Amino acid sequence: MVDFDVIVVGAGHAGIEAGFACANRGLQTLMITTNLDRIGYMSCNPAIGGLAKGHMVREIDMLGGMMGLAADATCIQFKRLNSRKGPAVRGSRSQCDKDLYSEFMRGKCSDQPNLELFSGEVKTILFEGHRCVGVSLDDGSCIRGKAVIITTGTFMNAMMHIGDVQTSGGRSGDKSTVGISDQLREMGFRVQRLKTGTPPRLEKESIDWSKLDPQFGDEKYYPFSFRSSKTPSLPQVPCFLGYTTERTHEIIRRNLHKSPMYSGQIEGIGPRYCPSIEDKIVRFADKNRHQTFLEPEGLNSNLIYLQGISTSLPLDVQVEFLQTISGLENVKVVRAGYAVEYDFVEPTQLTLGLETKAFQNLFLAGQINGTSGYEEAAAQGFVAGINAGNKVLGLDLFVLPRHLAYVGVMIDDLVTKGTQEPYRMFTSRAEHRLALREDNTLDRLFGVSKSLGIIDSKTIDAASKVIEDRDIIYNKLKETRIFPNEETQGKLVELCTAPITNPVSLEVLLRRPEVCFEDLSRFGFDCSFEPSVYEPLEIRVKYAGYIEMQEEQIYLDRRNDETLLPDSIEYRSVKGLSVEEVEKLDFVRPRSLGQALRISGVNPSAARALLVHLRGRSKLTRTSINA
Amino acid sequence: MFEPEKSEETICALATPAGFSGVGLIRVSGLSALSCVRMISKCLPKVLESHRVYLGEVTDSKGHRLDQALFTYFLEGRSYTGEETVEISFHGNPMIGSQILRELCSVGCRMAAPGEFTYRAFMNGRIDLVQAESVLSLIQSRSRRSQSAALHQLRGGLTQELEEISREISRIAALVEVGIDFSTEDIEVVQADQLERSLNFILSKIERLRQSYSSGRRIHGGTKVAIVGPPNAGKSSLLNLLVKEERSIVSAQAGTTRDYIECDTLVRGAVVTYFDTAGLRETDDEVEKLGIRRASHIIEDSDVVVLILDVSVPFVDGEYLSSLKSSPAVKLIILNKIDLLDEGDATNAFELRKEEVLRLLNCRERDIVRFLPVSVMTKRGVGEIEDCIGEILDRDYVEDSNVLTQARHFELLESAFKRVFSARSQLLEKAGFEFLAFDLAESLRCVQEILGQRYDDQILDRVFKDFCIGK
Repeated sequence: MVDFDVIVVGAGHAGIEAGFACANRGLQTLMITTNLDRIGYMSCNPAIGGLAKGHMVREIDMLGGMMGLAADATCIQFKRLNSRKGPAVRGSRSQCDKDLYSEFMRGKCSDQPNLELFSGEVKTILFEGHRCVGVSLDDGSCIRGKAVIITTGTFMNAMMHIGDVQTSGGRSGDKSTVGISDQLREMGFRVQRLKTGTPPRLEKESIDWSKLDPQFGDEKYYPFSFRSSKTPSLPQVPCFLGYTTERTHEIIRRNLHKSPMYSGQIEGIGPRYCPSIEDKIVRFADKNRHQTFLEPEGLNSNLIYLQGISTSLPLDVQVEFLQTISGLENVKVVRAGYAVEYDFVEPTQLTLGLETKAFQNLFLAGQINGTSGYEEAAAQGFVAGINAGNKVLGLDLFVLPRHLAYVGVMIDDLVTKGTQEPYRMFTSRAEHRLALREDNTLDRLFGVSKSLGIIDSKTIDAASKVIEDRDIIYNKLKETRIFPNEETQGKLVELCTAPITNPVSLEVLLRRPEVCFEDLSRFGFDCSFEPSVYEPLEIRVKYAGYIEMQEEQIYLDRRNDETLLPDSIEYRSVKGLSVEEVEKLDFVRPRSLGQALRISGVNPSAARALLVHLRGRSKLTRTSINA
Repeated sequence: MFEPEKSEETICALATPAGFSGVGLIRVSGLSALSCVRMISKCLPKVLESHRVYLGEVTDSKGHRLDQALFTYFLEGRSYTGEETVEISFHGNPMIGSQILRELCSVGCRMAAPGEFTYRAFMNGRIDLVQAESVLSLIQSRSRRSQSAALHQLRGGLTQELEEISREISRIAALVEVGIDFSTEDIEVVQADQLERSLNFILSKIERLRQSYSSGRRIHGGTKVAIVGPPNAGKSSLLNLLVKEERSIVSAQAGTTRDYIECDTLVRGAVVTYFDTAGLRETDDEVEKLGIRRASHIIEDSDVVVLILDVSVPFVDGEYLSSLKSSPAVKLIILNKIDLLDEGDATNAFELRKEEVLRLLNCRERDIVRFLPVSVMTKRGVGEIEDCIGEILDRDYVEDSNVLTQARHFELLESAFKRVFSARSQLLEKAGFEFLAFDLAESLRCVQEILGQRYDDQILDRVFKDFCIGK
């Protein structure tokens, strides 16, 4: 068989981004999947984005990723979460048509130059010494590749649980991947077990919709991708809100012993932030109802996803308790909810480029690294793809710093601290949250994107134009002044804001919480711009004080992050480190002082020891005592 | 700030106070400390042993002898800074000291920044942050009380209280984060009034510590006592009596003290700084006016004001009393020259003056510690003045209580307070939760910085800037 530059194992959300990131840069890329019909398949909820996750979708989109395009093209409901909470923690979420999403991705894959799709199952990874050189398939054939990216998701040694029934498989209808994780374990990798779950899927026609609360999307639409059209292309549909009842809880409690989570059948650790309904009822015993959103899996799909009710109770119990929910009295369960246990590789064994430290040219991305969620997977796939590409092209490590992107925060967290449960992104994980907003994605990542060169020149030009326009508007805001005359004061009264006593610029006026950008048109200001153009500006003006404080903090933190620790550093010989610190530092091999200090168990005082050591290394040859 | 790579340089500074003394000490530390010293002192032996003293001469570049000096050599790793160090003891003439320093600089040393020796000691792992700060306290500690406060601080009383604050802030911050990251979940949102209560609680805790700084600062930096009053009331004589030496010139002529005189002494183990000031009166003399203005500044700055009056001279109102009227300091009123009157007149005059003072200074009797009849001349009642000042010192001093004595701690706590306060405003104004969260994170960062729980070399810079050069 032919040789490839990069082989991507898996075609889920991580695999797709990895594959495109390589193929887009002209690298001969092979993507291997066991099921060509499930490319970019949404195994769980039918939505892309959410708090902090939406941020990451926008970030990789700005760099040339695929997820934003697919989510926009298949959006059937859009919501901006936390829109009332504050500008930095708003997160976009799109309900997507699952089948169309997968179809969209499949189409993109077959259209993509340099990208070849192949149906098969990878059995082993091929090594020469400490270098990965390709993969071998279940039919015994070998494919050589300069770099290999493994994105097998939850499929490694996966086991599904419904009641006491256990089935080998990573997703309903798909078999598990056996071989790779055992091989990795044999080669010395730390491989552990995690658990996740998914709710039952219901038959649309069996639900009495009149008894449920419809939940519509937002009026305003903010596509994820800079490259997408400004309006959704598919019809927009509502989701529905329902509640469990005391009866529901009673049934679950009575059948708790049948849940594999409680019978001790499942050993893997599940996500604390996404508990099963069994967990919710046990842990929050005083709550007399739990909410659930009924989400359509697509415009023409007959399936309804029951958000918030993930369970692994036996099917008959699931049906019994579901029918106690108002509107679901006669519900038919098309597919039971289930728990899945799978192998993951402790991510502290990876570099910031997601390459394994033990074996060169082998990259891991997505749920195999202990994360959860499509967006987390996609973002890792993208970064792994770029770095595998860089490796093949002889370029340097590509790292998104923590102060620039949530993607950077996530990868730094994973490889520095590891994870004990499926890792999901939260806004609170970003210490520079006020600077990492959805609205300023362009400003944050435009420079990085240009240097990566994946985004086409037309988009780059459009983005430059937006940035230029923003500068012009900002300067005009500062230059345009209003004066305390009768006409002005009248307009201010109309805006329900205090009169002015001195001439002020519109920029100063815009700082008032009750004045928004569009109000400035009353003073003759040209406001005919897209929200995507003026919103970042408006936020910048309104929250200038906080944003500046944040930037100051970033400046301080960057000094540690930009103090690089050489690869050759021997922690054992650094004076003043504890045994535990030496062990941790030796294992993680941090790239920078900043990263070193984020390792749990490494104390702030280690900074001093490391700085002193670094200084010693750069010392000139010591003159002898009596020179 | 001190860049780590800058430590390649060899630094020098005077380790003893500038001024005349028996012996002066210059410390030279760094990679080429010895080779620099050899360049200004050519006849040192070829081989030097650590911790040994050598006699030698210091010469300038032209070979002129500057002084005969003693050189103490410290091997790298065995000195205060951890670096190779040479200490030069010279004859304590400040001119010689600066000549030697100039020569050292001309052969490749540079003058140390404030606290740089200790900074290097810290960077080389010779001392830790707490030690560094206690070194500072010890150097500056001039009294038993300040020592005791420093010791209590080291024992961790303050740490415990700060950790409690830190825990509470983290708790609230976590509540706020939940509201942000899990807003779509069906969890009970944290109630604003509950948050506000907690924030108020944190504010009150910080406020208590913050307020302790004024007594803490006094314990550490000394209590300032201004001696004020009309001309010729006996201010300078009183000062001389209190400090037990002739510091102020005393004459019968009114307005002898034109500027102020400052003098330290110990009262009950605490440092007290007395200020003898120009007599307060309405005047057209420009120089005297200047002195009176300075006296007003000192009153504003003092912890205790001792107002001394001639018991037989009426106390009159005037512009010159304004700083006295507005001063929040504790006041002690001394009615002097009581010996010049017979007993009956003295009692009358005493009551008259007392009434005048209360009326003119617009204060109630309890604002004033005591009215004391005194004769500075015969020393009658002077002992009571000292007792009275001692009592004032004891008032807000509780042995082993948590008081802030370090300016660094105070400033950080100030910032923490401001951020928690701002968080509270954000809450009340219903601003974005992330701003509330930001403020809380920042306040936590400040508190943790005091505890040394966070690495930031700027903290070190701040800590070390408070050091005097040479230590």
